[in-house]
Amino acid sequence: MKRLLCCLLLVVTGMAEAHKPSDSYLQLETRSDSTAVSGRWDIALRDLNLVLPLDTNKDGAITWGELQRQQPALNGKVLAMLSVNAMADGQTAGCPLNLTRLQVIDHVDGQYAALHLQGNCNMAPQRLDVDYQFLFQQDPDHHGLLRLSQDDAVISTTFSDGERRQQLGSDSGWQSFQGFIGQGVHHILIGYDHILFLLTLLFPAVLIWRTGGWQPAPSMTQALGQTLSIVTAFTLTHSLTLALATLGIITLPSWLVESAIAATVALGAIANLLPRYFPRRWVMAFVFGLIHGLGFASVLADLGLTDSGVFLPLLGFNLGVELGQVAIVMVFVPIAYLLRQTHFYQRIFVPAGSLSIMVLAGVWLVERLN
Amino acid sequence: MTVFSIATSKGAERGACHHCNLVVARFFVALFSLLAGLASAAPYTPNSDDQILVRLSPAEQALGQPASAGSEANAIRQAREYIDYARQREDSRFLGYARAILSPWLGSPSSPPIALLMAEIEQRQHQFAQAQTRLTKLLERHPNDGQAWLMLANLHRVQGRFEDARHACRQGASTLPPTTVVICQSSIQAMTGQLPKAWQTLQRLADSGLASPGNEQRWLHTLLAEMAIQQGLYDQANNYLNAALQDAPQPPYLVYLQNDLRLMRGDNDKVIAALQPWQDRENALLRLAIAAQRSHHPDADRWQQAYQDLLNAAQQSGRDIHLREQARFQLQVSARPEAALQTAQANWETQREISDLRILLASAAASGDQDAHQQAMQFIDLHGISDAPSQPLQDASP
Repeated sequence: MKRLLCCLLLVVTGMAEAHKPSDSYLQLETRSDSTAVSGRWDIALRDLNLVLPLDTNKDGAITWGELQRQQPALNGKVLAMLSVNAMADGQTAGCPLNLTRLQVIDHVDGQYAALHLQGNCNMAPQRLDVDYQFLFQQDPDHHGLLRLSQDDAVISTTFSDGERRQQLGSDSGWQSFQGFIGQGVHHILIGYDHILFLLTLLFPAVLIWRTGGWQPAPSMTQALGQTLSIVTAFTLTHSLTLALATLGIITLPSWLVESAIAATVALGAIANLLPRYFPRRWVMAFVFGLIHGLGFASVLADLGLTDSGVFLPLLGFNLGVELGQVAIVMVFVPIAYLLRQTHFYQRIFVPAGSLSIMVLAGVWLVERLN
Repeated sequence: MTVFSIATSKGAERGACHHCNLVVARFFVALFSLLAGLASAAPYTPNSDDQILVRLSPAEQALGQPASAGSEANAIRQAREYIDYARQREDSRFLGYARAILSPWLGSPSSPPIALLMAEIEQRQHQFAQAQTRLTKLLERHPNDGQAWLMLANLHRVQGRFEDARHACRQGASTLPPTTVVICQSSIQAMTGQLPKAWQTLQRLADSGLASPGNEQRWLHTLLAEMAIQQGLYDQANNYLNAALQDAPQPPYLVYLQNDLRLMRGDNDKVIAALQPWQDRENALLRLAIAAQRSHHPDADRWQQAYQDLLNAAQQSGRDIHLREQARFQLQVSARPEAALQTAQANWETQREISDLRILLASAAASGDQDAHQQAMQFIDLHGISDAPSQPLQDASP
């Protein structure tokens, strides 16, 4: 009793265990126009050894030969612990899986058996019903990490002792498309550096620079023309780089992109302070849009969609960004237009606003480079 | 890796351009993680049937097919062995095996030894709330279970609820050996403004030889070493650690405590020499990565990448509970103070030991976060904590 007691005190510290708990990695692929299921299941050899005695000669080492000899048992006993069913139009059909090839793969905590799987469902699945029963009896802390690719969508989920059966399916295409539009709107509205850049360029859109001073734009048409040219130029180029980066054609480290974005905001503000040197505002929007697009791309990448089904997410996200941008323009430009003749707007708001944006962006730049 | 070291040492030679150094280093780190990501994880077919894929430890070999243990007594003995193995080898799979062995005996209510073992497993897996509920329920039925009070006291202490911890020590006093109660109370005093008193009490206890040899003695020496570090008495801390580490097997917790002391004193080479044989252990890898980076060891990048891979895998499986270690890595190895602060603050929500306080203070200082600094200082002032290693950080408000 005493031994137990003191032992307990030594262990009850916050220090974490070193080797990670047991996980298996399961990948499945289905298409809504095909009855086939394919995939791969990586199971740690240590875990597999609890279900099938792999070390047949009991020398304390599992060899490739010993693993290979268990192929029939893997196909029978182990695959029986994973059942996949296709669901479509209220009906369910089983998709019996077969082991087509056995290989080995290295994960962070050692060697795993890689079981290549192939199955047929008798109907094309809209959703998938997966029942995962592997290892929980021997190790209730075991997790099965599933990554399901269905057409262009990827769904990740975890099976655990308390959650062994799950029904999975992507939302309808339209729902997920709407989701990406929403994300795009959200990210331009919370992306204060993009907003500031756009606003900085738009400050003088309702003015014209003439003989060393700001004059109000004589007509609504002229103000609208300037605004449109800036917004269009910015949209064209940031959409271009957003697409290129999302498709993996351009990759730059995020600190570099973030720093460059801060620099563009600062330069935009400087342009307002020295307008005679920057007569064509849309050129600036055009060039710097290239950099902001890369920033949007990193947000889209964080949503975890770079490796499959790129097109719809990209289109939806980009559309959302533009909608958010239009909203900002529609709030700001009319107010600026109404105020454009005032001393306050020309002499105080534009210079002081630009100056403070320049300082703020300078601070970001230093921070992001650090 | 060579390219990386050349590029950075050139940056260092220029001297004046501190930033360039950092920027170049970051570029290469980004490039290497990209390449490492591309290179890893493709299945392969071994060349020969004799190729050894994995070696099993004797304990793993003995696992066979652990069905039911037959009797409750067998289950308790077997689970105890698994938990000890999990601690000694830092292999959390064995906590799962222990849980499986105990599961047929988890009646409601389950017997005290089963409940205590389950609570211990839950604590080790950072399921603090579950462990606390289990112990509280057990104590409602068996208010004289000293061991349960002791575990509850520790659970409260590591989470910074010192008054509850003190109460639990007191409740256990009628059934626990007096030396155990003294050690229990002192461990709380050390965090609540009575460090000198606790230090004196435990030193006297150590000199008296009253603590039972073996685990209690070792526990006493561990606490004395920790209190010595807290007072900046590093030589004395080292002596107590050596005393505690005299007998095999050496508990990993103590080995890491000793190497953390070496890191504080800049003995990077000793850390590397001591922990190199444990490269497959996450906690050792963290210390190796820190020591190697500080001493420009050729394996620095490899160890950093290896630890980063482990973090990524933990994140992927949704079980990233090693926040204290993760924050240390982000702060001291990857030089990402903001990320470190975020992790340290998340960690602070569940753990409030002195090392959690130190990492919170250090990452608050490194990221210049006044609020986080205040948060740590409020805890220090509220409980009257004194801690020499973090004193400079406490004084310097960011």
